Amino acid sequence: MSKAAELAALIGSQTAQGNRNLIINGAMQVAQRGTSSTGLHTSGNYTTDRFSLVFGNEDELRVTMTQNSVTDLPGFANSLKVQTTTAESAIAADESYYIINRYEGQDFQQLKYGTSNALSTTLSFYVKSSVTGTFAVAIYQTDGNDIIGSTYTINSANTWEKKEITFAGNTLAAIVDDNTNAIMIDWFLAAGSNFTSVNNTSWGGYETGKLAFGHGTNAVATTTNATWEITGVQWELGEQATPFEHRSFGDELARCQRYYQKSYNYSVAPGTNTQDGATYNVTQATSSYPSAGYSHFKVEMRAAPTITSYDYGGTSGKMNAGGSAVTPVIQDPAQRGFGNYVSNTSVGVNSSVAIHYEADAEL
Amino acid sequence: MNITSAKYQANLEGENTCIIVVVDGVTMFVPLDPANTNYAEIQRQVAAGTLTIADAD
Repeated sequence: MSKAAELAALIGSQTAQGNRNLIINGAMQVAQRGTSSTGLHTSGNYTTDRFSLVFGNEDELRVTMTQNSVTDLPGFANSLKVQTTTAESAIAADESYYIINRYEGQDFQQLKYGTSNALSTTLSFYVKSSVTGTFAVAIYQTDGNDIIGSTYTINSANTWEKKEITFAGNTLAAIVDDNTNAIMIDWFLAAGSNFTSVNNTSWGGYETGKLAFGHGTNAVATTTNATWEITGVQWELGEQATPFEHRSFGDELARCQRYYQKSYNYSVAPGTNTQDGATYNVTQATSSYPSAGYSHFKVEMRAAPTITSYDYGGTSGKMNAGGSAVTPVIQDPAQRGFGNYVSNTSVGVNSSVAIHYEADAEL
Repeated sequence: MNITSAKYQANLEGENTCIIVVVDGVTMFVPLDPANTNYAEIQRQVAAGTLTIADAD
């Protein structure tokens, strides 16, 4: 093959193109909420941005989730790691436990789902676990209520292994072109028999039994101190996994801030006792009017976010005004920011007002 | 989402602007945006009859 033909083939395969990776924070670089969460037992917790844990009906299970420093996988410095601190005695039929990653429909129109030209995609990732065996992965498409899945096998304990899974395109339903939850990718760590009974290896209507078809081991959940970690997650068009597309920290951080951001400096956990990063204003010189401030977001958010305010001391539901912690009125939370105001009659004129916040617009 | 209290909060014009909720002891301000997942969950719980939103002060 000539050099020109090689180049044409390379371009045609998209391996030479940027923005191949549909995954945000696939190298687990960004962890705005903190780098470790312990005693987890309920769904919705994050350490590395955009990847959260789902617990389904477990009894005893408690886990620690960390942004782990990686030293044994060249090219990667971080992973998402879960470790079982209290094991589940057994996984019942209705119990499940998995990592979930959600995406907006407007970012996936290029998949051409819902047409006869729906494109195949390939999911690749590095995984390492103290448990060997077969694990399930599923892609659920909210629009159309469709699902497809596959499995991968961890062959050697405590060893990084790269996994590559190709999925057919979904011809059954289109992805709605909006900012709502359209695509979810699930990495199962445990699944009861209710979730494993129906074949999901081609796209079809959602059934509970399809969620984790083929999942073979629940030992991550049933073994104290068992670990499972993942990094280098890439989802791309085509039937070939290409080398992981690394992005800068700043690029990934901005992408993550569409879904979650905070007033605090990056490495400072929300609720920490600090003034750094807070939004300030001064109350008006007359007590006739309330005093308003406005916090502009660093990145426009996916939707109007839920605001958690903090005073300097880290108490939620509060802000600082005139040297005291007061309850703010949060005015019209929106994608670009939110207002807050306090009454001058209670705070006093020409007083300093400040607020810390978390803004959450996760899917 | 374990919501222990929910109450509308009004803006300067007296219009409801968000819902103050307490979740696991943390106070949050939830916008009235159907695309916000917390708001959607609140609406689900209200429809199920398991949550009532108090009027604003």
